[in-house]
Amino acid sequence: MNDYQRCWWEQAQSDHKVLVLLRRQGAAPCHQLHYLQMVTEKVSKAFFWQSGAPPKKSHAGFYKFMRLLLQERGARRQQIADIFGFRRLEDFQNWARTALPLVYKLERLAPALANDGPNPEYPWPQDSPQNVPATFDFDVWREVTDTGRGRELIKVIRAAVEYFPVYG
Amino acid sequence: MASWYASQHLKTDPGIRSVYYLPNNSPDREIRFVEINELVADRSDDTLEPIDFGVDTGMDSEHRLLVLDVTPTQWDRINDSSLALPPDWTLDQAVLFDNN
Repeated sequence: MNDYQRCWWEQAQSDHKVLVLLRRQGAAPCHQLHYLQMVTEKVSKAFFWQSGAPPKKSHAGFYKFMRLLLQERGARRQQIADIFGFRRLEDFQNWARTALPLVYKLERLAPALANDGPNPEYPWPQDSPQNVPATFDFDVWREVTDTGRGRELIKVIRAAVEYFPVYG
Repeated sequence: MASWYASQHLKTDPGIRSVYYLPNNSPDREIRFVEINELVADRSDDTLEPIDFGVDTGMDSEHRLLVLDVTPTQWDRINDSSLALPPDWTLDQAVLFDNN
């Protein structure tokens, strides 16, 4: 891990601790979604700093990060599967196939990508606000909490942060 | 409350075959579920741990929901005792919820 990666990873770790606190305290879904995005954005940035060159400034990235992990070759394949708690890379790939659409939806919630629609931070639409994140019923939140696929994503995100020094 | 959560999860996730509510040994205001899910991956045994959600913290209805997702194969192994539930969890007096 280079020094740039360490900076982003340390922030991802701290954000993840807050995310867990929010989940255990039952904070409003918007706050949990917000932190879910912050963690995934930062761990992805830590990964993309691997080359030593700055990644693009963007809220997106975790989707791309997951896809890159799935394309690993050789001995790294099994290492990645082990790190994320899957018996074989094929199991990870099968899970990812079903989880990537959810990852994509989570990423698109960032205000900059939400197209003036539901996002976890600001009332919308911008010109005539009618919806409040704190009271909004996010469909994507139910997908995270009420499905096995979503709860596995929570575990994969935790592993992505916790084991970053091993694979990053 | 357990029945409501189980029905929500069964409705939202087509992979869930059944939900077992484990009231025995669980602290007050804690709902423990084992969900047998055909769409979750067969993961390492050391990842067999529940995800915990706080709900209504600070209100009269405050409680915790803990969900352990297992594959049908892992469920079979739990039943023949070759795979352990989390510490202090027991299937004694488990209540089954399913789509029937």
